[in-house]
Amino acid sequence: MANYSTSEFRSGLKVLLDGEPCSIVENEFVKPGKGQAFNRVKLKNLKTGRVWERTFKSGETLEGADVMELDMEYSYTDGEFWHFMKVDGSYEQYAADDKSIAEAKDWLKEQEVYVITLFNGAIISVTPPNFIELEIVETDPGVKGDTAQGGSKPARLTTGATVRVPLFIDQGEVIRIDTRTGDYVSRAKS
Amino acid sequence: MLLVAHQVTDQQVQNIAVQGYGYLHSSPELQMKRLLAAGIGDCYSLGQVFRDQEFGHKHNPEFSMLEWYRLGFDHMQLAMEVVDLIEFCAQHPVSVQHYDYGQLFADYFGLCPHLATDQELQDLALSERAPAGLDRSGCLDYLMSHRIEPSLPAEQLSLIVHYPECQAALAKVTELTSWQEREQNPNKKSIRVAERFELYWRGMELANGYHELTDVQEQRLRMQQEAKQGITPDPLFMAALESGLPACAGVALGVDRLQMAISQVKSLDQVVSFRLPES
Repeated sequence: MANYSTSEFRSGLKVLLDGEPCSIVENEFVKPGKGQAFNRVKLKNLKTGRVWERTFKSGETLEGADVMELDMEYSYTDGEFWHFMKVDGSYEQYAADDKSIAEAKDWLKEQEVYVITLFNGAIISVTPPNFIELEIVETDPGVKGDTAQGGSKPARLTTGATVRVPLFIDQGEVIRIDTRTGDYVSRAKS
Repeated sequence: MLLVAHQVTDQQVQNIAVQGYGYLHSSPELQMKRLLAAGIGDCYSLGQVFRDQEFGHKHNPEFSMLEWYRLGFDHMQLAMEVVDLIEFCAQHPVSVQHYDYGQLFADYFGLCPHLATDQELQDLALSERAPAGLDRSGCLDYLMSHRIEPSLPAEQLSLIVHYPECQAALAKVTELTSWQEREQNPNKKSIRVAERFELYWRGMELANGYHELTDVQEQRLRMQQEAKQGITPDPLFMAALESGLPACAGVALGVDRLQMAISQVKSLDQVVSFRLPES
């Protein structure tokens, strides 16, 4: 891959830092008028999601990382791997391991499309859509008449995840969830 | 004047070349000193200057600089005049806090930046997560710009004086140890510091000033030592120095940044109408 100099570090650029694939988040030029020029850079480790801050001497370079983001449909899990399929008509399959699926595990649904990050051809992370509709498999019986306001109760979803839902929601209902916060949004429109 | 015939010798400042003519000037310093040597007296310059490869929220390859010289002033007198100007522009008083460069490092890292060895400075910089391969001055720049400077209270003007000798540029160098101290303790190491000041306000370096070096031999020595590989000091400037620079102090102030500080904005985009790549 090509090398990129600090002046080419734009947000979103994918580079290798200490062998880890990273995405540039922020690049700030710091230079005393008469002194050494630096670039203070924030990079997101694409495997762990953690943001690192690193200072480089201006003009230093980093190797570009072979990172691609693709839409893929979730097919099934064999217990060890989670299998996804490209939606470009090629039906090409990729498997995600325990680590790379972690962020999306609570929000997996067959035939749903996820954003898959590939590094050197292997899945390193799976990003669920911002909103997803999932069925409730277990919760206390709904309280009639209780609408928007009032308390909440835990509800277990088909994925095994538990979310807080309003009291009027019943077992078997399909609800809409914001996957970024894990919050209940509404009943699914059927 | 924007076009000059010679590049600056500063290691850390890159001129922008103009094919067939020379360079866009990075500061009017050398030309103003030629005028001072010719007897012009107190003088100022307000205009655009150019520095290659400098781009960010607080940097632009083209920026406006106010530079002025005062005969008979030292760096402290001039620093006070800069404060007056800033207060005049801001139209309100601003409190000023004086800092000694060495004391800042002592308080922050427990180390004397003037007496520490190169190795001690490099170890400290690395432990503070600096990039590898910095020289002495680079380590000091890193520690100042990444650790000390962000901790200076934003609302006061922070006046830092007595820079390390390796960052003297064209400022006079003086001994901090007094003769009394040396009489008491002949083994006391002397601390040599530059009569240089920097002024910070609201997270930005606004001005850099010197009690100007007037010793011709010393000037020649420093220009040669500091010069970038293969770049000879401007001969017209050197000739002017031979004829003698009067005792004076000089300062350069970033005008766009002063405007940013007064308007309390975070980016040059908010004070400059046109800027690359949109200019």
